Amino acid sequence: MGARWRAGIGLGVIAAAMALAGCSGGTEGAPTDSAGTQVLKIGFITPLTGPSASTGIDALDGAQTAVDIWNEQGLLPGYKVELVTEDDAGTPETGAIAYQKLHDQGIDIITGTMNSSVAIAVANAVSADPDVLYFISGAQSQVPLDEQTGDMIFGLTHTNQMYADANLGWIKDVAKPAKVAVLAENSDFGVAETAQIESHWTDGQPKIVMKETFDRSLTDFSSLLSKVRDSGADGLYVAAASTAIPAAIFTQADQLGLDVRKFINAGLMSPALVEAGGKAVDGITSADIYHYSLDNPDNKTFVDAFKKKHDKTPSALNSLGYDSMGLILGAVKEAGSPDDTHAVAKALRSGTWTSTRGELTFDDTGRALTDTLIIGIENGELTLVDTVKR
Amino acid sequence: MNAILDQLANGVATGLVYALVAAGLSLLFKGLDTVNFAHGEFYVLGGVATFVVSVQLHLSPWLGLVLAMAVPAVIAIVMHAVLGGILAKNPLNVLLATFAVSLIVSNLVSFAYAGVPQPVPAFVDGALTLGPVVLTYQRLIAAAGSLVAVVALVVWLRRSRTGRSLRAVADNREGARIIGIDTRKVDRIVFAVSGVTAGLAGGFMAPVTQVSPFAGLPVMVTAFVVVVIGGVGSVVGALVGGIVLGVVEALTVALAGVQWSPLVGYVLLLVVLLFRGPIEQLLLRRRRVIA
Repeated sequence: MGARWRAGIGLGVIAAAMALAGCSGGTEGAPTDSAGTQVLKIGFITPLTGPSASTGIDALDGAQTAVDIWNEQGLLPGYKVELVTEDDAGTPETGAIAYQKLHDQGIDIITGTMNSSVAIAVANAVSADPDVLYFISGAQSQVPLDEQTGDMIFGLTHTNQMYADANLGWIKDVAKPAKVAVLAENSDFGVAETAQIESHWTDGQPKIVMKETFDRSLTDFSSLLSKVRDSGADGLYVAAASTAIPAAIFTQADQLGLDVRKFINAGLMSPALVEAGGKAVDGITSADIYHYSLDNPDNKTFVDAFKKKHDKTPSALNSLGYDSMGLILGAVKEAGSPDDTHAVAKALRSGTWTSTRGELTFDDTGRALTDTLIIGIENGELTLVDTVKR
Repeated sequence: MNAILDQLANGVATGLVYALVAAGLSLLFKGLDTVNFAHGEFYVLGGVATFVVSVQLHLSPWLGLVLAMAVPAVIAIVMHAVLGGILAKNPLNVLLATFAVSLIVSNLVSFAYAGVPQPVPAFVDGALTLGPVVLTYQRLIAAAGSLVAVVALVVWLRRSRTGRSLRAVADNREGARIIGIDTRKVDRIVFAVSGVTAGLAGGFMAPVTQVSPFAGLPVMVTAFVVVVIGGVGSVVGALVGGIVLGVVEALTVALAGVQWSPLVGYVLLLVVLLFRGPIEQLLLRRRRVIA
């Protein structure tokens, strides 16, 4: 190789380095570390305090796992990824402030957000900044996606409708109980769940033999469960927003010797439910988007890294944080640079991606589409029972 | 018909536990002319004691019942010692102070268990089936235990020296003091007994309903309704009122739906308040009773 050619290569490398140095990493004049690698800052808004803190911390743990992998393996050449975390405390006001803090630092790629009310508030704030890419990790509300004027807002998890379609459809078509008693908590959530059930099971398959709404402060369900027994139901569907209620209901049902199939709404299948209900929650099934046993390369990498760091298998919430970062960074790599966030958004929308949940695409609104899983509890363990194809 | 019989049994079982909680509240109200807003939290503490003993210490849950009575009793005595001065000066401050204690206890329990209800295993697993009626053994233990405790309380009030002193103080505090009854000691005993009744009920019901840091207020409200239905200051009245409320609630669930069940209790409360006075004036001689 001649000296001119080597010099040419050397100049080319220097030019490339200078070009990369010109990439802002989502900010103008992006910082570089001592090795000259640019720091790509991604904003992560999540509840770290308040009633939703456990969900926020779980998502953050997953996100950090992804960031560590991308940095350690140099998967985004020329960049070191850094999560800049802000606590939204699970409230819309704090979420909007958290977004503003990140935006004031010049961070144009934002993810996280586990509560729908917070996501709506942040999306409203984001709407004033057309170059901000907002990738909602855990909040289920479709409102931010439907009401966006650009194509810069995405949602990773299933909506309530998607969960209901999968869960109630599976119960109807696969589990096939003949008669179901429905017990729902007296809240907006319980009312919405009951409406979903009534709209999905319209032809008497299964037959809804009893439908009751109870106050959330109720702890003694004996009269209600006696009524369930007298109704002749062979299935019991409990709709509640927290694990404590189905745990209490199925514990008391067990004590009464009530022999029914057990169903609950999506979002509750977790170690917390198993801990609260013990043997009584064995046999419960519900819908979810993730199980650690899913057999795909992305999930294997995730589970191995997560177990090594946290000494436990990851949950759906961990996977949401992990996939949020994986998808964003994959799109940045596809777009060539994080500077043009519109190009990153376009890459997300147009691509077919791999994730811990398997193959993933985005619909016209920016909602991620993957299969839905039916998760069960068997001998105190969360198990994968079935898959409902998207 | 079978469903009605089943619900009647449920109602009586539940009502007996209501009666035990209400008996202590009734006693306090009549003896000291005060309401203890922390009474519901004594119930919660009884459940916590049972949980600690049976789940965390892996000891017999029956031992948990002993603690379920002792812990609220001790706290009640301490409350009386602290509030005694306030009681003498301003009864309204007592109400506020007991409300503050209620919030402190419920928040402490919530903090200890991250606000998550804790499951407690039944003392005896399984259920008794008699025709259409199915009752878990735990509910039977709770109902029978509550009945025994209330009857024991009635007998103690009527037959024991302390019980007679208590009734004397309730009848005429100043007169009782003049004849040498230590009224402060009697007050202390009343506070302690109220803690024992609520704590015992909480201990019985912990395996049925789980131990929830937020159960205190609903239990307090139910006990208050029972006290009014059965007659303030009457432990026998609390027994009758508890059973009436339990049965009415259970039959409402069976016939109308669970969402109407709390409402029926409050309607019953209003009816009793509106019509008891006139009925008593017509039919009964007014008498201040304890038991």
